[in-house]
Amino acid sequence: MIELTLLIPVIFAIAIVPFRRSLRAVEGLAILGASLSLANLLASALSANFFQHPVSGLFGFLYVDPLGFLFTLIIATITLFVIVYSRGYLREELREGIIKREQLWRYYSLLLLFLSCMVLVTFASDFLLIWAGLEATTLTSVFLISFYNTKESVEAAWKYFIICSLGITLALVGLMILGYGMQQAGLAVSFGFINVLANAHLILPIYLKLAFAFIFVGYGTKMGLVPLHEWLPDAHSQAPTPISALLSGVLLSTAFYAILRTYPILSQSPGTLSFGSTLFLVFGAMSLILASLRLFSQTNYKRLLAYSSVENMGIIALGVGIGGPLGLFAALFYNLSHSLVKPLAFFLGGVASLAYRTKQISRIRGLSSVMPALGKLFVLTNIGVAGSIPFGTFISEIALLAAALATGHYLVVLLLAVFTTITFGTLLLRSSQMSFGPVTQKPGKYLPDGITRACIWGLFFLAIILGLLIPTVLAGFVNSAVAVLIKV
Amino acid sequence: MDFNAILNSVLQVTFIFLIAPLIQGVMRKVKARFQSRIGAPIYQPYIDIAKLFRKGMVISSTTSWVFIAAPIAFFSSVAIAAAILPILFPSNLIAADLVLFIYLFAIGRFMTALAALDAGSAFGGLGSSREMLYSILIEPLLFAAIVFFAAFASSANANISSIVSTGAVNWPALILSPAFWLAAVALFIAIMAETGRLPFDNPATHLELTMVHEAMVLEYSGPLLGIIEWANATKMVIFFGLFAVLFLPLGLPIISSNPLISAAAFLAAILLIGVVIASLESITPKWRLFEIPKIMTFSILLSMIAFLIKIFGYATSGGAIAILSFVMLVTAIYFLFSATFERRLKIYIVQSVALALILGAIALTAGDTGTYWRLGSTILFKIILLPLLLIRAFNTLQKDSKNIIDVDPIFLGSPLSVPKSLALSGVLVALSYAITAALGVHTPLLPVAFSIILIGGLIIATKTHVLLQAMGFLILENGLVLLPTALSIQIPFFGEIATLFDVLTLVVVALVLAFKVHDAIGGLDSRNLDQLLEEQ
Repeated sequence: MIELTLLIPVIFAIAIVPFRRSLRAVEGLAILGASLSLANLLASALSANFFQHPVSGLFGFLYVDPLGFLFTLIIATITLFVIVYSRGYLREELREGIIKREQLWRYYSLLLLFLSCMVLVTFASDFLLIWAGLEATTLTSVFLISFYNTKESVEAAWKYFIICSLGITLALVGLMILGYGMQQAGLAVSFGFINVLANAHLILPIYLKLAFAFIFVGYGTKMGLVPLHEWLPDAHSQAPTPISALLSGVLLSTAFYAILRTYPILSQSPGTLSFGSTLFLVFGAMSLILASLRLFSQTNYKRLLAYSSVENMGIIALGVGIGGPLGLFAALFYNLSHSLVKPLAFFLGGVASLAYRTKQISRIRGLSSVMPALGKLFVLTNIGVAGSIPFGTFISEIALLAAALATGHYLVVLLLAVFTTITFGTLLLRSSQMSFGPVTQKPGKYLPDGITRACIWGLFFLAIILGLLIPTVLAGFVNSAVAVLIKV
Repeated sequence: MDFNAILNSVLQVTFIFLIAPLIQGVMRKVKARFQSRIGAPIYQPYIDIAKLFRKGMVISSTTSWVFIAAPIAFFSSVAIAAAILPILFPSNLIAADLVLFIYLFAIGRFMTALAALDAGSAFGGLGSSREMLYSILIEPLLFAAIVFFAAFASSANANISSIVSTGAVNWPALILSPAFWLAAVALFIAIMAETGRLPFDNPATHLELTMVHEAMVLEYSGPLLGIIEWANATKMVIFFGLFAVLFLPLGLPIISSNPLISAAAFLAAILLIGVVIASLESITPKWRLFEIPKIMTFSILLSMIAFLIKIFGYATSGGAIAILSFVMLVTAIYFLFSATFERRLKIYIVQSVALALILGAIALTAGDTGTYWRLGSTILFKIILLPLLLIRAFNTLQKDSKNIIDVDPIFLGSPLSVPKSLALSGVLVALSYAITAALGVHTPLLPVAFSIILIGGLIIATKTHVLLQAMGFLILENGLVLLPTALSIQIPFFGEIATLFDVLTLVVVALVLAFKVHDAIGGLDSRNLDQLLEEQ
């Protein structure tokens, strides 16, 4: 019953409406919905073996293979963590009077719908449905970004809405061109990707290239690749912190998934494939360079992390651009690790900003003396974001370098070496400034409650497992996902 | 030199000069009837000219010989131009090309402007400067429209007689082509400007703020003024005649060898054009001087599109669907510089109606479920529900903020001036044609669909009014709906539903967001959303 993963959040999003008066009920329903969704995903993974036999569901509209499963797992897990973290975060903001009680049920309801839309993208069996799902993620998340209804947050939401919707439109144009290419090749026009990929070798390369270029730029907008990233720092900095964590850790991955799903249409001939690789490499390099240079001048902690996300997405794009089993493995594993570490960084930053009542880097000092364990974890997570041990980002960057060296992409090696170092230095500097040293400004009395702490440590635990052990089963997942991309 | 040819030319020039005041009289009469006046009799202009010739003259002592020479030069240039057009006889004594034709009027305009400066009055200087500004814009317009016609009629050279005669031979094929109509509209706008009609210039005004041509001839009196008035009326008739022989080849000497029948048909065509223009003038206000370049750019754009269609050769097939698709394209471009929100909403409805008609035509011939679905949703949502929703949202937002949507929120201080955005849209249209050509697709709809999508993007990118940006999505979406039709691919049914649902949600989200923007910054100017700008 794979479709339940998709439907449960919708059902709970609606179920929240009659209980909207009670904050406890709303939070409970949201957590229950996300957990059931995740539980169903895991249960179906155990019962049906995705790795030998991809599963379809809901009249063939859904199709789950290792690649889709890997991304859905990230989405469902992180969303559950975000909902749990939201509880403590929003209650504190409610106490401070930043938000109103009536707003909260909308937040949780939209969050569940957002989850469902993202799962739709990763479960869809059809390029059109992926498109529709990705557009729906914009529409459901835009009011989460404008949640505070301040001048700034509305501006961020407006930019996000305009830029991403425009980008998505380009992707639809690309799909139409793909359809035309199929028609010209004498095929029946259908956008089910199994069918498209099976017949892609019959389509003229010009249509494939043009279609992929449109789709890449369209979804790349959502993924935050430079120069299409303008919405990203604004949206990440103005949304409530749990939502920033979700956007950074999950939404960008979802857009990445949409591109990755389309990418195999190019793999029929070396000419088209190198066209796609070039797109990935160029956009990836631009993202890496620009984002790491912009990092240093950021004064807002959330903007800092947002630019770091742009940089991370650039590294992932570089991995796909290098290609081959190792390059793709590095990209997917990096994406997986990033999806765990980045939300953790946002969570810790959120705790700090609640304690100091500011998001300005320069006004948060001495976090370690206020909350010793979390303060040190904060620095560790930040350098993890930049690709350091003991997190999965480190291993995947090494794998990426190895892949680049093996395939002779020496320029990529150089770029990675220089700009990840800059990023690492900046993030280490900023997080140490915030964490160590004397407390200059008296922080508030806020200390995270037990559930929030459990949420943070739980996420840290998952992230560190990925970095230290790489569970065989997870490596197997990633490898089968790579196989999906290579095989087709 | 052939005596008959000379006689023919003299006859034609005399004929045109004789009927010119009549046309003017008819137009004034039509205008008077529009204003519920009885108006002067239609022969009044003859009496006026006769009266002027009988009066004495006052010539300022500061003037030089230019002042006397200018009206005569103007009159002669008009007379030569009158001999060029093939109206009564198939070929004329002066078989001139269109460059000469256009520059004959430039000579007249140059002399008049010079004379106006010569008199040294402030009005003269003002009028000349305005007239010269117009001429910069009008001449390329006229050229574009006529050269287009030459290319389109597959004429071998730029000789006006041969353009007209080849055009007349190909006429039945020409009128089926949308490019022909685009060029006709472009030439019509050019002629309105050249002959100084509303909304470019008001021939009946003597108000210093609005005069253009009248300001230049203010110093004249008596016979010289009579000459100018007469030449001016004749110039108007010649331009109407140019339009008539190019676009309504009635009474062409090709069709009828009898000059009398030609003359009667010509008179009928000119009267028709005169009445149409007089009616248009009665319902149009004069535009501000600086608004004029917009409509001029629009006209050039139309010629450019017509050229593109000619170059890429799609226009010869498609018929009604092609014409409708060009209606969609032109509405998208018109959206860029239309004046008010309500008018833009009407433009959007017109575009949607054209879309519905295209889909209907296709559904009739080769209807698949997808086309029916698109047709139904277009009619229900785009023609009825979304406009209602938008107008309600607009009214609610406007009620709250008198100061924001006062005069014209949409024009004032747009970051990209209207001529620039028009020029950009021209580039986008050319780009769409290039893409289509590169794809090797031969359908008239595809470049139009691409252009509409790109222009929709341009609206979103360049407009600074939140609601307009939201409407940009609607324009863009019309292009998207046209796209599968243009490529003649059939989209799976659920795809139709999913995309439609997404688009509707998108509009609703955009409107809700517009309200939020309004609450947050107290207006709908998205330039005020600038809190998060970073130092680059």
